Amino acid sequence: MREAWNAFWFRPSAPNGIIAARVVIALNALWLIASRPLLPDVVRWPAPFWTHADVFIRTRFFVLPLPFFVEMTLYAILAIALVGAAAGIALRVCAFAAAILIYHFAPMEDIFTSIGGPFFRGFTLPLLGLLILAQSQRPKRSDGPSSEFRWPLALMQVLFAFTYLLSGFSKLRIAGASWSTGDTFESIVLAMMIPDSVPPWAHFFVGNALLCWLGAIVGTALDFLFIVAVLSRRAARLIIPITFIAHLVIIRVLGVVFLGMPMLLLFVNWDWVREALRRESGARTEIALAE
Amino acid sequence: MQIGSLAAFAIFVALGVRVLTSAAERRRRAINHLLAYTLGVHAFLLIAQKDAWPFSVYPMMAAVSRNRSDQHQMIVARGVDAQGREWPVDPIAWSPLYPSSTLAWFDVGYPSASAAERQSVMRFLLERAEKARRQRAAGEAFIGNRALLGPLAAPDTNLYGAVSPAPMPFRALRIYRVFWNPTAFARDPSRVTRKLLCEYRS
Repeated sequence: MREAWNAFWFRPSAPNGIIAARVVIALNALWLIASRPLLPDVVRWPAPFWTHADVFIRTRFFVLPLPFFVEMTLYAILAIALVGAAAGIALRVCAFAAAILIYHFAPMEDIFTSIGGPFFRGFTLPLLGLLILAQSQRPKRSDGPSSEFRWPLALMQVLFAFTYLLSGFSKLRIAGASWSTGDTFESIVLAMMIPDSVPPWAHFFVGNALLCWLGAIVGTALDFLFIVAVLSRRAARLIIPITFIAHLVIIRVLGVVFLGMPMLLLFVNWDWVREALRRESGARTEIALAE
Repeated sequence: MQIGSLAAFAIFVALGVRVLTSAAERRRRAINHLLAYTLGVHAFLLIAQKDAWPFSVYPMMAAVSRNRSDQHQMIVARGVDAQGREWPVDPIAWSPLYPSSTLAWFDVGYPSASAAERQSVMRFLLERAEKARRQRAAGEAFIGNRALLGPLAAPDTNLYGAVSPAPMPFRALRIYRVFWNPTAFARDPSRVTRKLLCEYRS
């Protein structure tokens, strides 16, 4: 057991994966921040909105009655910290500051009505990933393989895989095995067809038992099998593209966008990518010298 | 629950700081504690079916009704021009929030709000809706949540249908509660009933 634990978390790895993870996570968060450039504006919304915002939720996320310019300054610091983290500048400070500020700002999108927190707003893994980066050793491209480059990336991959695995277990626990049926999938498609917003491919599924069963089976398989991509690079080569395509289909069928989709890049074999780029660059140099 | 969630996050941060500050010979042990804690928190939340963001068990779409006779409902907003015609409000009019987060106030806050509070909220929403209409009508694409990235901006988790800008200014805002049966709606999108919740005129 201990051997398996150590082999999984601490086997020596080249630094390419964790360097790529740093860039992916920081840029994913930056994309979300830049897509809500005035998120702190909610503190200026009329008082009646805030009257019913749960005081315990506000306290939990440090949403205190601060002036707009203070919140906006903190938001700007968040953006700068993410740029720093992506570039690897003052990594620990930038990653830690960005993580804490994401923790503060992410719930603002639902602050007036949320009861659970922003678990599906795309900030979950960036926040945890940045905290993990803040605690891990700063890698350099010239570094040799080390367990210090393995466990942070493995933990991020496991946390990302939990998006699917725990979702699958939650469905089992709440709805039972009957969740994985064509009938249930059709009910979900129907529930997502709402006035003002009907997903463009929803109609293909409603009344089509074959497609609905396919949706249920693929959905269940992804929930429970995605974790295999964490354990096997060979399996990841198959699972990651299928998951990416599945998310694109979900957008068209259910109208739901998974904002953590860029995190699939955590599973790319960056050692192989770097080696391929090096070979390509070497070949070009040889051609140029021959000419 | 909120305090417990905050504590769970604080412990994660503290264990991380311990990894950072541990001497080399104790570092592996500190990392193991962090890993075990992270896995343990998720296992606990899964069993308890609780959410303690940023630790989550992602229960989206786990509870779905398969009763096809169920009536679904939601809150929608309509801008009203000087001729009394109704128009959908631009989904990014209330940036940084999207309609589902904004209009949920009519479920949680509106019933107990005073007349003055209701008016204050409606005035605000109408002004923002009209501003977005004006910007769209002028052909501006970089507005609201799309001010920086335009069409490359991350959307809301739920997609909203495209809205053509109304040609005339909004003079009023109406909030409706809309009801529909999903099966009937899938066959014919016009099969919805609606009840006026409130109206505000500028």
